Amino acid sequence: MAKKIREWPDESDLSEIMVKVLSPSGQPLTAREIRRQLPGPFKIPEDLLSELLTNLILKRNLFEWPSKGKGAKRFWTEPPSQAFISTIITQALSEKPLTPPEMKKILNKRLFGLSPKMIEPVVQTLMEQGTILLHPKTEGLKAKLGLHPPDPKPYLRKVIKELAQVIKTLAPCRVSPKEIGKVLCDSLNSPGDPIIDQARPQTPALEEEILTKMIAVEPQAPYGALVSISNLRRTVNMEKVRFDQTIIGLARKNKLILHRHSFPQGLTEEERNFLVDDQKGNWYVGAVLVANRK
Amino acid sequence: MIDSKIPNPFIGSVVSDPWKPARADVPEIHAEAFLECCQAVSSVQQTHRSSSIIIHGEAGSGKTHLMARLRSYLVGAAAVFISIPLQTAPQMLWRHLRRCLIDDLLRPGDYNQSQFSKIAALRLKTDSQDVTGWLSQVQMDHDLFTVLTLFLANEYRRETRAWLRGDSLSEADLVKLNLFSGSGEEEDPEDKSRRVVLGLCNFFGSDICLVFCFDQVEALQNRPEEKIGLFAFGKMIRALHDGTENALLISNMQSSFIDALVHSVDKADKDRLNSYARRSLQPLTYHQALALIAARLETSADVVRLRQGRSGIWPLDEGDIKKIFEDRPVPTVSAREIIGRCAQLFEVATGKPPKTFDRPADFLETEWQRRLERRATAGHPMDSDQILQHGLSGLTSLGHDWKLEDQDRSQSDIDLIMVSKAGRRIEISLCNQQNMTSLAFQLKRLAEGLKKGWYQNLVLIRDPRLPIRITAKKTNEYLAELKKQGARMLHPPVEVLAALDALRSLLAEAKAGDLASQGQTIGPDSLQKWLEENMPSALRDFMEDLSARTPDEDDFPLEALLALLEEQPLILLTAAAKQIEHPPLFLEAWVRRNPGLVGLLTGPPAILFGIVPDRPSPDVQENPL
Repeated sequence: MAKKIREWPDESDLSEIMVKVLSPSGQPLTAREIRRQLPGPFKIPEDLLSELLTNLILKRNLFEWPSKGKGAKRFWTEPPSQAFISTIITQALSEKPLTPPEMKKILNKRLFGLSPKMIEPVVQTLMEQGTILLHPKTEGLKAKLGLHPPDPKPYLRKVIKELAQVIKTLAPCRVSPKEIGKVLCDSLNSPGDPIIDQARPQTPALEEEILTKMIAVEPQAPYGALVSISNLRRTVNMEKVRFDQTIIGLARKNKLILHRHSFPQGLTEEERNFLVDDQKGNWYVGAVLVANRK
Repeated sequence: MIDSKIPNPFIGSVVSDPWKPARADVPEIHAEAFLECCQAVSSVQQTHRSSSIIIHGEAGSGKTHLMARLRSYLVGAAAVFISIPLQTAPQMLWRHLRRCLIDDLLRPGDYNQSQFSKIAALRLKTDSQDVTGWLSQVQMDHDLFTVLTLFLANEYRRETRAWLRGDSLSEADLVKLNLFSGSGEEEDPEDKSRRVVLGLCNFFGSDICLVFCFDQVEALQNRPEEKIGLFAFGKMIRALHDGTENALLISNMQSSFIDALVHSVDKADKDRLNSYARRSLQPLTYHQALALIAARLETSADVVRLRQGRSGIWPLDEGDIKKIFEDRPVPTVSAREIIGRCAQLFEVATGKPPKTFDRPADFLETEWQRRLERRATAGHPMDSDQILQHGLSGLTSLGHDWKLEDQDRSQSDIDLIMVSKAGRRIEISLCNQQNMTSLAFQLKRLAEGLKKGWYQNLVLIRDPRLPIRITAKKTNEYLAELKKQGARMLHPPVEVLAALDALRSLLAEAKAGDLASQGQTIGPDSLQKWLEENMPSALRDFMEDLSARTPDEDDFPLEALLALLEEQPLILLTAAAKQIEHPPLFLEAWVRRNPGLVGLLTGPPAILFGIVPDRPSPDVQENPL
C-alpha cells in the first residue's frame, strides 16, 4: 500500500499563523500550548515547530520568555523588556491607586511569571523617577502606589476637625467661616510662613515631576521619543500657567526640546489650551527629553 | 561690503523633492535619524522582513532633506528608493503608489541607468539566471507576469511602461500585450494596483530592499474631523508591511500631526506604521545652525572666492545668528527659518536695504501662476482621473456649499458624490479610459443604475483630449441613452484641469508645511483665505457647470466634434458643421463660449483646430538590462 505523504504549509504561512495565534493570546505560551491552538492543517510536528520558533526569534518576530518554574520555555510577540514591564505597571496603576500587595497580584497575572528580581528594580526606578508616587498611609487608609498625587481630603480629617472647633470658638465673636478660610488660603499662597514655605513644592520639584511624568506618558521618552504635551498635561495635576512656565523653563535650561505646532491659528481655543504657549505666538505640541545635547 | 551682483546662496530654502540633490548637506544634522533609516534598510535585508519608521518634526525641520540624503546613500546599495508625495485621493492610494513606484523605478539615474536596470542587472548576475528563469520563480499576478516578460525582453516599451504605471490602454495596445480579453468587465482598479505593487516587490526578491518614502501624509486629510484618508493609509501600510518581505516604509509628517494619525487608524495598522522606530527631527542648535550656514556659503563659487582667508560665516555675523536664538523664549529654530533669515542678512551684507518679507498674497499669486503654466503644458490625459478626484476633493473643502460624501464601494463606477447643504446629490463618474470597450461597459452599468433610480444627478467627466470616436458605436449609444435619461457629460477644458492640479498641489504642500516663502511657512488657513478671495474664474465656472441643473446646452455634439478634430486637426468650420450635423453659426458661437476645448481661427474662412498641449516625453530610452 502506498504510504500517505503529507506536505506541510510554507514556512511564511506558518510564521504568519503562529504570530496570529500568539498576538491575541494575551500571554506567553509554551510550544505545546501554541501547537494546540494552531488550526488543523498547520499542526506541524513538534520538532518542526521548535525549529520554526527558533527562526522567528532570530527574526525578532517572537521573543522568548522565562519558563514558569521548571516548565518549558515560553514564547510571545512582546519581549520581556524593562520598557514592557514599565508599560504594564503604569497601565495597572492608571486605573486606580493600588496597595503593594494588590499591585503584586496584578503584576503576577499580567507579567506571566516574570521573577520579582526582574520586576522590582523597574518599580524602584519608576518610584525614583517620580512616575509612581507612594501615597502615605493615614487613619483608615493603607499606603498605596499611584500615578497621580493622592486626594488630600483623607489626610485633612484631623485638621478639619480642629478647624470646626476654631469656627465654633470664634463664632460668638462674629468671625465667619469664610474669613477663617481666607486666612488659611492667604497663608498657603503667600510666602512668609516658614513652615508652609518649606512644604510648598518649589520649581525644581515641579520640573522633576514633569520630567518623570514624561516617561509615564511615553515609556520610550528616555530614548528620544516625542511626548505629546496634551497627554502630559492630562497626567500632571498642575494649573495651566504654572505647567506652561515649567515646560518653557525646562526648554531654556536645555533639558527639553520643544516642537512647535506649525499652524496654531487653525486650532480652536480649546485645542490650543492643551498646548504650551510661550506668549510670543508659539504653541508647542510635544517635548523630547535631552540626553547629551551640545 | 561685497558685490551686490553676487547671487544670494540662501535663496530657495525648501527641499520639496528628495530626487533633487540637496544644495548643502551637513551630515551631523539629523545624523541619528539618518543612521536609524540606514540600519532599518540593513535590518530588512538581513531579516527578510518588512519594517516601517515614522519620521516627524516641525515644518521646515528637514524631513524631505533627510530623505534626499537617504536616496543618495542608497545609490550604491542593493536597494531602491521610491518617493510618494501623498497628493492623492484616499480612493486612489494604491493607483498612486503604483504610478510613483514605476516612475521612480524607471527614472533615469546615473549614466542614464534606472533603478530597475540596476536591480535587474544585480539580480541576474547574483542568481546566474536568465530572465525567464527569474520570472518563473516568482509568484505574481498573471497580467503582471505577461507585461514584465515583454518589458524585460525590451518589447513594446511604451505600452508596457504605461500598463505598469496603471494607465488606461487602448484595445490595440492591449492586444499587443496579449491582455485584451474583450469582456470589458475589469476588476477594481485599486485591487489590481495593490496586486501589481505587491507582485513587483516580490519580483525584486528579498535581498533587495524597496524603500518607500511617504511624504505629505497630512494631505490625506481635507478637514480636521475627516478620517477616511488616514484610515486608508493605515490599511495600505499594513498590507505592504505584512504582504512583502523586503519593504522599508518611511512616513514623514509634522510632529503636530502624529495625534491625528494615531486617532484615525486601527491599532494593528498603528503598530505597523512604526514597527521599527519613531524618530523626531529636532530643531537646530546654535552650532548646527552655524554649520548649516557655512555649508550654504560653500555652494556659491563667487562667495567661496570672496571668503578666501576669512573664517566663520563671513560675510554674515555670528552675533546676528546668536541673537536669533536669544530673542526667543525657547531657543527653537528650524533649518528653514535660519536659511530664510540668512537670506535677508546676506542682502544687507551686499549693501542692499533689508528686504521686507513678501506678503503671502503676493507669493501665492506668483506661485499660482507658475504652477498653472507648468501644468497647462505638462498635463497628460492619463493624469486626469487623479487630478479630478483629488482636485475636486480639495475644491469642495474650500467652500461651504458642497461637501463630499463617503462612497459606497459597491458603486465603483461613481468616483465622487457631492452633497449640497440642501441635500442635493451629484454623482460624478470619471470616464477617462482610452479603451472604448471598457468605457462602453462603464456607461452601460451607469445607464442601468440610472434606470433603477440609484443616482439623483449623474455627471460624467471626460478629458477633452480623449475624444470618443464615431466608430465607437456602443459607447456612443450608451452615452446617448444616459443623456436621454438626464445624465450630463462634461469635458473640462485643459485650463480647468491645470487649475485643479495647481490647486491640489498647493493645498497638499500647505497642509504638510512645505509651502514657504523666504523661510516663512504658509499654512492651510492663509492659503484657503487667499483661494476664497482669488478663486480662478475657470474653477468657479467649472463648479457651476458641475452643479448646474440644466442638461447639456442644446445637446451640442461635442464628442463628435472632438473625434473629428482628432482625425483632422485643422478643418474648415463649415466642413466641420456639416460633418457633425450642426448649423455653422451655432457651432461658431459654441466654440467662442468654450475657448479651452477647441481652437478657432476666425478667418475668413473660419477654421477649427484641436488643442494639443506641449508635453515632454516621459519615456526612458534605455534597455532595462
